[in-house]
Amino acid sequence: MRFTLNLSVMAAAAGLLGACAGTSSVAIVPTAVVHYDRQGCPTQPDLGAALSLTPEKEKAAHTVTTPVRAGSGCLTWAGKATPYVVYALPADVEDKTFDVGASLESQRIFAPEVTVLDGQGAPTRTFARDQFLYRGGVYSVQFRARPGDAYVLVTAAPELVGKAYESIAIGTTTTTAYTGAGSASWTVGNDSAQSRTFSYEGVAQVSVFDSDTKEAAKKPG
Amino acid sequence: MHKVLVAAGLAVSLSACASTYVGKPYDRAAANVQSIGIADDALPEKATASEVASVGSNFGLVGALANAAIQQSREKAINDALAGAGFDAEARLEQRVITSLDAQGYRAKVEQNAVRQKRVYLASYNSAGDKPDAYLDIVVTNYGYLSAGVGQPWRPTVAATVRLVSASDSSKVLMENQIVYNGMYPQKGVITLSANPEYAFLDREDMLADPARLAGGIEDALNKVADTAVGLLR
Repeated sequence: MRFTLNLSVMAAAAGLLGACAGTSSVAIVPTAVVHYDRQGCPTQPDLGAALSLTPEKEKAAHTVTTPVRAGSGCLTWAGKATPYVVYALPADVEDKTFDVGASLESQRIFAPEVTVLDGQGAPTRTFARDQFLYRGGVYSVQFRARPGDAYVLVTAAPELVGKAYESIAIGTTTTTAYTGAGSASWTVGNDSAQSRTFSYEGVAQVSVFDSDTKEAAKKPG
Repeated sequence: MHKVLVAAGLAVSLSACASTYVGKPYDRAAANVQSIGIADDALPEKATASEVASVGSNFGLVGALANAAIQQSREKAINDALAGAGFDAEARLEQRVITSLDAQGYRAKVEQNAVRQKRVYLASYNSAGDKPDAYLDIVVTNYGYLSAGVGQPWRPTVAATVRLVSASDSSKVLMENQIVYNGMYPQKGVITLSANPEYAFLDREDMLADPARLAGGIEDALNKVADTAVGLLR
């Protein structure tokens, strides 16, 4: 009985942690895709297919993650073929901060290039490589939109694909031993080298942070 | 019959539930800042040397007391070694920030302010001579060395909050962010800098054996934090 109870508690805790981290069990760990040879890609993104960054109701943080695959939409951008995702910015951007880039996967990172577009799809702003930073589990650039900005385009950066991001992860692991007489915990430190390769495939991620979620209620009409 | 069950790793992902920190990105074109005053007293007086999962930390109150004594002794030895090497973390950081700002086309100088009572932003800023367009306030909340636990290497660590404030209106924050170099668990939204593998020490004796290298590790970490902070002002 005790054994069953402990198992239940562990299962619930593991499920909770999984939910927090937003992960699910995956049998195959995706690896980097370092070649992309699509031909005849259009030179303009399909703005009609833009993914909305407007949440159903105003909230402080709204994150959209999009798998990018070799078979996803393709674009000829800066003279090179690249997979892409285009997002439509919310109509009211004044109070919002955008964080645009790629999620860190266990072995790879989609190599993001970010371009802000106006309503006609013309570039209004690009970001230098050193403006991209690791923020927790995301490799991204952060910005506030300017008047006239309407879309954000995420393409692959060919010069980044194939390069490695080497990092050192430190943390602790706690082991708990349950016996009929009680339980005891022991915590040990972890220090491990990690390596991820920038890839043509991966997960693009955009977060929209709203500093004024009461705005809609304040607006007349 | 005792039934034994071992559960490992449940604590590992708890930080995933924490809310996301949201920085304030800088818009250089809109800010029109040419000159920057750097608030002084950026660093705590002493470096730390923390072993997170120490033996003592696993033995309740008695272990915690023993651990505190060991840590105090270790930190004194580390700070003595850094002083013996002539290492002035504050001066090195300030010089790096000035150099980095200069490289980005800003006029920069350090401004003397009142000593910080806590490791938080200053409430107001002073300037000697011409008033700059904005003040860069870098608050290092912790720096030194960190080991994840017994038997794990000691690596430099730095945690800082940074902001740029308009000199004409101190309530106008032009940029704000948090930067962590070699922290425990990446925090959502916080700029995460990985440790430089060149600076890893086996234990206390290894750290104290070469004070110049010990200081070099901290300087390298502070340089990366300074460069990242200034990089936010591109």
